[in-house]
Amino acid sequence: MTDILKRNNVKIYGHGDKVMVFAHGYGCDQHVWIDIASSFENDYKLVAFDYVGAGESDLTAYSKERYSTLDGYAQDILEIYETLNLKDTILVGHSVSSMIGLLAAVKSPELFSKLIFLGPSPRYLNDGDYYGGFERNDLEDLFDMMDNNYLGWSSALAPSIMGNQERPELGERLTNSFCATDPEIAKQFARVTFLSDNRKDLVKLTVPSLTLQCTNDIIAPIQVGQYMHENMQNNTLVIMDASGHCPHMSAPGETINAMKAYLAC
Amino acid sequence: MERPIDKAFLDSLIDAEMLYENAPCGYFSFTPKGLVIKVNQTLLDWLGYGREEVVYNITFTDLISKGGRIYYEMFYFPLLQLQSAVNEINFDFIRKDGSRFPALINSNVIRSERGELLAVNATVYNITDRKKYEQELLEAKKMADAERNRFESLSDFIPELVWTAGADGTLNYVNKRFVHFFNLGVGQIDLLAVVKRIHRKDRFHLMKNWLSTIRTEHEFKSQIRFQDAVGTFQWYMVRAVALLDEEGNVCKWMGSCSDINEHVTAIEKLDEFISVASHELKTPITSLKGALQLMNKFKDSASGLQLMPKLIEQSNRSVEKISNLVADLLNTGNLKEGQMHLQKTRFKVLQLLQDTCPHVSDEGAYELVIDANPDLEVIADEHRIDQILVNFVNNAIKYASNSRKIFLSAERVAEAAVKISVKDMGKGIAAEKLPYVFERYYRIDNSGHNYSGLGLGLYICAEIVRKHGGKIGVDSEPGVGTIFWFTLPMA
Repeated sequence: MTDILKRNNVKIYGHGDKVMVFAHGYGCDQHVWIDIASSFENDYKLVAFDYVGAGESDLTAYSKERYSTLDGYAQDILEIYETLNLKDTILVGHSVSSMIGLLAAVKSPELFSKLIFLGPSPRYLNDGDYYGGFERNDLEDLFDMMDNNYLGWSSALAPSIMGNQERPELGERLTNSFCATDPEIAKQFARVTFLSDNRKDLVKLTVPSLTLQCTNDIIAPIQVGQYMHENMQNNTLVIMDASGHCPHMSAPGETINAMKAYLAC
Repeated sequence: MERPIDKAFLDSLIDAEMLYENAPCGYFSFTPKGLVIKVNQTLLDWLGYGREEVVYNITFTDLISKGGRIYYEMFYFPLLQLQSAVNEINFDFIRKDGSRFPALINSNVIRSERGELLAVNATVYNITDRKKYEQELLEAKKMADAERNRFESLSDFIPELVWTAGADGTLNYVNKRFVHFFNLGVGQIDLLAVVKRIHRKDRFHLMKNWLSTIRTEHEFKSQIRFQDAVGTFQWYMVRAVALLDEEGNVCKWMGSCSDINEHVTAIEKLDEFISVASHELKTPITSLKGALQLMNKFKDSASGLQLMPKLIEQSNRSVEKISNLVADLLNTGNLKEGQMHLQKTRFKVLQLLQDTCPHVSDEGAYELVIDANPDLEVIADEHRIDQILVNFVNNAIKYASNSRKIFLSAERVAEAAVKISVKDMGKGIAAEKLPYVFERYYRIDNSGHNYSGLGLGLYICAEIVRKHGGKIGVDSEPGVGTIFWFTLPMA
């Protein structure tokens, strides 16, 4: 039996009866929640975790097949819920985790009371009339960048020259230790994330949700936030002053206030 | 006494701002939202922008591609938030003219006392040259990989066991066939497992030879026996040549082991055949010599003359034997060169069976029992077919001397063929010997004393039948008898 809590490096803290679960976005790990989690720890039991391949998760648990779609990641969330016997929760998902959370809530709506999306997008690529913000060659550009930047791994040349077997061990991580992701896993996650299309799943969500939409977010432009709002039942759309894609880090105060306001009603 | 150092004066000589502007790397600073607040001349030169176009005018993300912007949002920005420094991130900068250059960026974060991100100072290294070298290195590696793959697939495909060794003689590469033959684990060259499979008698010789070769010579050659998977020993030729470096020193050995078992056993057979043939020829020659000596001795005496007919007959028999042996040798030589020409005619099989082997019927020691349809005809070289029958009958007499009756029969079999058989009621041939009786130089009784012959008769028969497009075979049951048979197509 897999140790789910070890696999996903699950951390539990805070005091309260209500449970708030934090799901980090693509590119980093649970450290991204530091700034806002502290504001909730007196009222909630907080659960944070790392996806397999990110942070201090169990890299050996990675399966190309399981994580070839977002459903595999949604399954991870449901398994954490089952292990901890979580019910009646608020799930906070950043970026791609909004869609992962949505898939989990479509599958088991009874486990979720509210969903909070930070910078969500059901489809990153433009598609006919739909504006996602990206063309395919933008993504190729990103994948090139990822090839050039093995975060937390030996920089630049080494991995591509030496091949996998010579890859430095985790102990030899370089300076960028946060957000270190196994480069191969990071690449596959990037493909799964940016090529996913969850527009058809939006209508299936019955759990009430909040979308926190930043101004000037190139990854999830405002048109995308509006598209989601129009295609979901019971969705509240808040357009924030914060710019960029990481309001929980760049504008923690505004983010906390918006979350509290939504949770209060 | 030295004058005290005027630190203030010396410090005033250093223009930090000028150093900043003209450093060999780019510098720029930006707000958390990316707005550029300061930039040095070096970076402006690289970008092709004027200072006023950049400062308080554009953001970091305006200077990079869209893919770079995604990367900025998803990786770089969270890292800036979490760490005090973010090092060696590769972004492609876009110049004013739209062209790109690759850069490595080291970033230091300035925070308020509350830990709030205020600004980022970044150092930019232009890595265009490095990228070029990396690219060349990657391509060189790709080429080297392709070369290695080519070598390995070639080396795995050829039927030889291929290996290489370092200058000190230690194996460092073996091909797939080698791994398979010696049953080695993946990725390990277990020398002991290899040595164990060398014939005990060849081990010392091989090792001594190899050690002396790697010390003194540039070529190695040794004929040894390896035990195959079934456990039988097979002859192999182990060879190696040295690869020399520029100074003429050995840097590598390229080696192979070729299966030469067939070759070695063929030579062994030939050696044996030559000794048998010499022995076979020597007997009638000795007898002929004796007869001639006696004739010479008695040629002038009246009493001696009475012995002459007997001696002449003995000589004739000896010459006949010699000429038969020589004919066999000639036949074999011709067969080898494919020079047997058939002179086919149509004839009745029964007639042939009745006319064959008059020497046997006349002597009366054996009875030839003939059974064939009088109308059965074939088109074949009658003389050659008779040669087969004589061979079969002589064999029956030789190896089944207790069988007084020898049965010759012909019958029509399927596929428009005639099957001709010679059956004896002798002691039979052991089953394990049957597969080899038509092989060249094979003698059923190899002990050699009781039976003479070159081991060529049945081989020649088989070749004649093959030339006719028929089949040849033998059925034997120990204690019951033996049937030698062949088929001929009717048309």
